[in-house]
Amino acid sequence: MTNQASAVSGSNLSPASGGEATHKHFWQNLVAACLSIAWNASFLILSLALPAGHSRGDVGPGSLPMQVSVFGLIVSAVYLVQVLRGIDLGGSSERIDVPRVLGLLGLFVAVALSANWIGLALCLGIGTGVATLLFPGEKPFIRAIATGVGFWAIAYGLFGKLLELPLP
Amino acid sequence: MDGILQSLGVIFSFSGLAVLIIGALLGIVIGALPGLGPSIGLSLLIPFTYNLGPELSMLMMISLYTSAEYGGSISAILLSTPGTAAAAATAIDGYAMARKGRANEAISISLTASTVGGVFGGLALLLLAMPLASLALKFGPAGYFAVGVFGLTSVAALSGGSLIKGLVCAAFGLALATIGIDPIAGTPRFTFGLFELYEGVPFLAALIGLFAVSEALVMIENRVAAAPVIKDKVGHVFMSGALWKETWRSMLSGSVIGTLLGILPGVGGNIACWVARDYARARDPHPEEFGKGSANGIAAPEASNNATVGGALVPLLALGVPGSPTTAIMVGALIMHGLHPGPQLFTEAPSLVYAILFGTIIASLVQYAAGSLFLPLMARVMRLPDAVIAVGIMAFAVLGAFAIRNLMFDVYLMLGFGVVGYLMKKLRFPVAPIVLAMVLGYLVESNYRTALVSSQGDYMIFITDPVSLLFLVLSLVSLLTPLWRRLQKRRVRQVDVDETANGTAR
Repeated sequence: MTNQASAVSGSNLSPASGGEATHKHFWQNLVAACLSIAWNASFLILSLALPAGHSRGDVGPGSLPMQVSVFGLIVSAVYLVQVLRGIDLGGSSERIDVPRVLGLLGLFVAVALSANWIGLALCLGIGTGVATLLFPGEKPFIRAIATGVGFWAIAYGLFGKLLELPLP
Repeated sequence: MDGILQSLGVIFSFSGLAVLIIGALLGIVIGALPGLGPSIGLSLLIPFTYNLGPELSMLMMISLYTSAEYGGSISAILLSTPGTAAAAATAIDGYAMARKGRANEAISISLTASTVGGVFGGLALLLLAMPLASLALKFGPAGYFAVGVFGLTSVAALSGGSLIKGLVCAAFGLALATIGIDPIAGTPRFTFGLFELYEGVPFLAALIGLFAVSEALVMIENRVAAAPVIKDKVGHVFMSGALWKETWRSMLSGSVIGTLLGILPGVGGNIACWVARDYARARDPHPEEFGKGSANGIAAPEASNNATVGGALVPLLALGVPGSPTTAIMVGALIMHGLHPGPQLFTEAPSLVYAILFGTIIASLVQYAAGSLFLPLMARVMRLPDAVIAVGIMAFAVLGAFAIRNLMFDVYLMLGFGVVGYLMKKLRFPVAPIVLAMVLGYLVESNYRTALVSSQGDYMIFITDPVSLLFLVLSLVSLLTPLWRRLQKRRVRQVDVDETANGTAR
């Protein structure tokens, strides 16, 4: 996973030499480290706004969140330093298959959003059926119909009727 | 005594046996499907077990957990693709044996060793949990705080290759754990006026997103080429007397190793299987057979990974501290039933505790029966197309997230966590530390603040309390050991490089 062996010492503020993969990992980790610092900094600001404790000895509701965010800031800073020093902390070397990933995610977001209008069981049936078309394979339409009907039956019959889940 | 009888009544009732069998079948299928594992299986199952009550719900989950550890070996043997990380060591000798036309034999060894390991781990749990729990009942809030911190240090072991990424994730998980009404003063924190967040971030929705949805998103990207499936007919799974004679030592050593490593926070079947295999190879009169289809090369890792189940439940029941992502998920199930794991559970819900203790042993036996009877069917399940598995995960994730509180908010949150989990997997961030931190966050904060209130704000309570001091020292050791090991490795590597350079210069 992590290739510590490929670590390059020094303080050069650029990706380590080690091919395209290492270059990609550098930028991915740099963005992740910056996001982590931003998250912990925002969390710290929100923690400081919380009221003090009322009981004697109580450190108050903001104390632990504040300590956690300070800890998060420290480890994020160490992470950032490691990235900037050129240590390869691993990452994704392949391109993300954006249309497929977003397609699957988008379909299920649509399922969740439309559940209140046409019912979760039906939405799931349609969603799962269409989602199978995103995968390569033989007889896609038959597979899509079979999967869609199957999951509608599971959602409506098993969860809606048998387990009495109040599906929207 | 009443608790024991009640629990046995539940286990041997029609519903008890039914949930054990269903759990075993689901566990074997989930374990056998590469990419899935007990964590994903449990996170998807928990919401639907709410109506079963705590005893039956826990029985089903233990059965799934145990059987998934075995199920991983089926694809390891037939496809050379371990269904779970804990079956990785089995793939070496299992697949080698299967290629020699002995797939049936390999699976029979795996099933028997898994059962032996599971029963051994269950017996260890039965013997260790209660004395440890009675000891833990004497702990004060400072002691509990330190126990929680000790549990958090397993992040070091769960971080995979990068400790710093593990720590970043732990900080993120702890931050998420502080969302909601605070446990002492009752002040809402970071809720942004959303009443859905007053009870905190719904743990199960986060789990389902981080484990299951992220896996489905990864699955859609991987266009898996057809695996070289072993086409041997897989029928009976009974081991011959000669095989028993050959493998019993490895099964026993694997069981002991698995139980002991399972108890340690952060160490699970994925490490135990390699340690057990190495130990068996060192003791084997024919170590050269390892890697070429050795029966002991299957028996040792399989016994160890199933024994970790019982071992991992020891700290959960005795101290309330989960040592692995799977046991952390089980904490989520107990919380869903209004219970908090820990020594107080022995007095609050004795029948549940005994159901878990005895259930762990019985689940292994049920796994043996289910594994024997349904094996040919399981071999077929592995051929399910990725499309059906991935959309199935997504559909069950949506239904599961909704079932927790009957709120669509939880579904949106689950999908959000799915995206976070997917990006984390892509960037090689470990997910387990987040889950562990989310579970332990409440334990740590509530006891930290209660201890300080009781000491009127004096921080020395964490040093003067002997239990707290012991666990804080253990935490320090647990956190520094991987760093020390890494430094040692780097030093050895540097010495090697220097020696090579010197040799070249001469």
